[in-house]
Amino acid sequence: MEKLIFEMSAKGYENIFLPEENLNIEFNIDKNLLKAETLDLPEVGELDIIRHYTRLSQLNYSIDTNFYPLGSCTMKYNPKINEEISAYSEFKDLHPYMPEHSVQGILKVMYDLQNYLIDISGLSAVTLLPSAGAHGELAGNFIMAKYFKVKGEEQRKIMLIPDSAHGTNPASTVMAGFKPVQITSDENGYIDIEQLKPYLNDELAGIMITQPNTLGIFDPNFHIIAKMIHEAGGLVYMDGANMNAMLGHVKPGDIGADVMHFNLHKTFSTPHGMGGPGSGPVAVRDFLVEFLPIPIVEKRGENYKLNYDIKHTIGNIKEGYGNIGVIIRALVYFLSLGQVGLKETTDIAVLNAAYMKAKLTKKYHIKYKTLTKHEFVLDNKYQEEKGIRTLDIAKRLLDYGYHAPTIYFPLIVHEAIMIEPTESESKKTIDEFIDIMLKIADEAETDPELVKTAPHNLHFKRFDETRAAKQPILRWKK
Amino acid sequence: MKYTQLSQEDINEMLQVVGISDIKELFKDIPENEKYTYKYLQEKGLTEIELRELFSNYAKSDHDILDYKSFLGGGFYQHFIPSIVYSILARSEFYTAYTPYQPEVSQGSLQMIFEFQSMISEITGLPISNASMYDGATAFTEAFLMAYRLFRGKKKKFLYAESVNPIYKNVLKTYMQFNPNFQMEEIPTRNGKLDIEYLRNHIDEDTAGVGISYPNFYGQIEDLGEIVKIIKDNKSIAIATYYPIVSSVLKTPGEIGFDIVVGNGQSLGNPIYFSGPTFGFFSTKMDFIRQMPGRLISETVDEDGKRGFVMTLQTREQHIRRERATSNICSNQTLNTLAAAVYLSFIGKHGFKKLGERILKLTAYAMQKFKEVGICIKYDPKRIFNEFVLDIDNSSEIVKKCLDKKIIAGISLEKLTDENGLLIAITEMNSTRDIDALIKAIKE
Repeated sequence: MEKLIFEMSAKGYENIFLPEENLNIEFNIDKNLLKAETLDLPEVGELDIIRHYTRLSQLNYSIDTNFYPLGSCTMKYNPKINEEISAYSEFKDLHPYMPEHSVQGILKVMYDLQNYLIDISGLSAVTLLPSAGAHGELAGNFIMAKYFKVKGEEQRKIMLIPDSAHGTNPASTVMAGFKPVQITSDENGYIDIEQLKPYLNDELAGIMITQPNTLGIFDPNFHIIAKMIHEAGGLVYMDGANMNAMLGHVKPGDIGADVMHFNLHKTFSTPHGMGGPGSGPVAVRDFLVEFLPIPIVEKRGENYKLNYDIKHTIGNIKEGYGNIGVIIRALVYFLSLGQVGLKETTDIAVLNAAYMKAKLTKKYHIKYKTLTKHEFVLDNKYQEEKGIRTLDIAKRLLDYGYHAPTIYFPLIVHEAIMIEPTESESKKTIDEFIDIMLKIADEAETDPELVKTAPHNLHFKRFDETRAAKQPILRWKK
Repeated sequence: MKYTQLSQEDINEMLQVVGISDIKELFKDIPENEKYTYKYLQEKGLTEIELRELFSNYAKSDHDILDYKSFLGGGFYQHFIPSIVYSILARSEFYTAYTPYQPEVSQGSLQMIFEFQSMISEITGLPISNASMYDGATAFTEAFLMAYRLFRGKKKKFLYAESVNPIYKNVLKTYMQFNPNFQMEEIPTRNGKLDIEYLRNHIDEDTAGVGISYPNFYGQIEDLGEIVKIIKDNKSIAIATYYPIVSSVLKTPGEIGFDIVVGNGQSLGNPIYFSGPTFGFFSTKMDFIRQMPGRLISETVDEDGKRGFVMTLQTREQHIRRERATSNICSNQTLNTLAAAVYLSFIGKHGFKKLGERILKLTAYAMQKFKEVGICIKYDPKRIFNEFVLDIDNSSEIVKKCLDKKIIAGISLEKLTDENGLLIAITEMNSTRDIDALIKAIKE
């Protein structure tokens, strides 16, 4: 067990970092503002800090150490050249208020990424401002709300959201003043078109669709649904979290999406960083460009400019210009793959998933038999009679050195096991994972207790989460 | 470049298992698209050799601005970042891990975030802190939304100071504009600080929260004690956005009595990166925990009684509560919090105090030197930590003039706020020599 950094303190110890400077000057500040006590921060030397955080890092599963088939998260390889280039001092040490002529390089980086995202969205303009997918959803919903406001149709409040959607979709849309209405899926995992019909009136704001959806199913009726929504005066939002299944095959704009967000930290290989920073650029159709948040990068002649003059802008949505470090990595990725590499990415991601599904469905139940793309959702139906829950299967996988798939999501599959292998993995890794999954299915038959009490081989057993919720301890105290 | 790992033989074998002859068949449900064409992206990918060459050209076109001495602040501050921060950030066991949903194999991330939460609570002076928000401006906005929830939507009015960073105010307005229930009112500034009388006269029983900045955008420290008293007497929520380095020497906002304290954590070990990624911190009182946005990490034990850490109170969050969640936030800025945790571990208890004292002294030095050459500093010199406004009405010309001397003199307030002036920030990265050069350049 690793101590807390605070527990490693040697009283009175300090690292030296300030150069000596003879400043024979008194503070100017009102003495009443000064505090009496020194904060309780660690008193630990450099080597022990390095050891502490290095040891902590080794307690993690990560893409660089373990296969990480988390559905919906696109845990693909994070190329090292992206890390190298994004760390250039000429990028990371720039201040947002530096004069525009001196930051042309980074503005070009942003401008180029905007264009490449326009390319694959099939839409007209892109903002790089949103910090994450959910932030992109929010910006997209603000844009839609402002559009209706300017149009004088503020009564349009109904936002249709399929039951397979990410939780962020309904959570984001309410923040823009819309009312989410849940639409259930049909037996194929497609949106049930009949259910949309009662809402096709002048209270309809639009629909938020994840394409392919969280079952990994590409809804072939998307363009039909989009047409219905448009005819009723509504807008179509596409959650682009699953763009890894569409690169080089179909553009959201071409099948009727008006607004969409990308997750650079999923599709475009930027690291997840234990939960962030991500980046969630938003693309819009031509008639929505005048609502984009500010600023946006434009090219005027040979110069790049931050444009704040957008007619009906929703306004600022964050400090500064976006998660620039993430944006640089995504641009490097685009350039390193080109059109050919992007399409190959999707082809292999979908093939890897199809292969894995073909082999795993011999021992695991799958609710929807429909063709899937980059991910698929199994469940525990065959293992349930032995009392095995999905959580148990997940924990047993940890024992074998694999991160668990996404579990209990999407909610429309009872005890869901959502697997996304990505294009990054070799056949060998995929085969080994399949073997282990099948082995766990056998263990569930022959020795269910072994599975139910997993994990067995890790530093830790299962944690008491109830205790944490009832009596949360959220900070160290002396 | 190529990041896939299948050989043609692998592909053939896999197609056979799937029962198809061509990958195309896996896309047969996608309606025949018009030709998929690109306007901008080139057909072929580049190699590492080419990428390095290309991006060093991008980097070069960023002028030689990094050779300049900078006095820019306004929410982003240049601070020393120890080498060990970059060393730990480069550990891919951290940066290539996902959100710690499986605690048994994520104790590294979870314990780190717990340590981060502890350090932020120490700095803000409030007992609970979350695992991060996107940035200071969105955290400030979330604080108002939380105040609204704390009164179950029964109080609808929000007051915020004009003296808050203009971008924070703009983000707040963006978020609030689509909810007709919210009523926003700006407290004007007098002599660089918020107008206390205005606050006293405009706060009422319908006021959910009041938000100020410590120090404010002009570098001034407001009459915080009195402000908090007025807010508390009115039973509203006191919100502060905070520059965390201030805690090195000055009273924490928690100690002063604020209920929710947020801010931009960039100055704690993160490079400025042209504005991001950084992180927003968010601290509050234990009573308010159920209305808090974002992830929380708690200590607990495993089945053997070993101490460990888990994500907790997830029923507040979007993946469970959906449209009734406390916020839509999912991905946050955890890697940036790792930088902060390593930074604060290294700077440490004693170093942090010395850092604050150095900044105070350098600021006092700069103010004295400006006075000596007859350039006035606006507002109260006794309520300045490290940022102040020079009383000049041609600030953008001064900025231009100083660029010729390889000095970025500060931020011209000409287009940002009602009053003109030059906003100058001092940190430990500015030596007395740099300050002398700045004054000389302005004076010439």
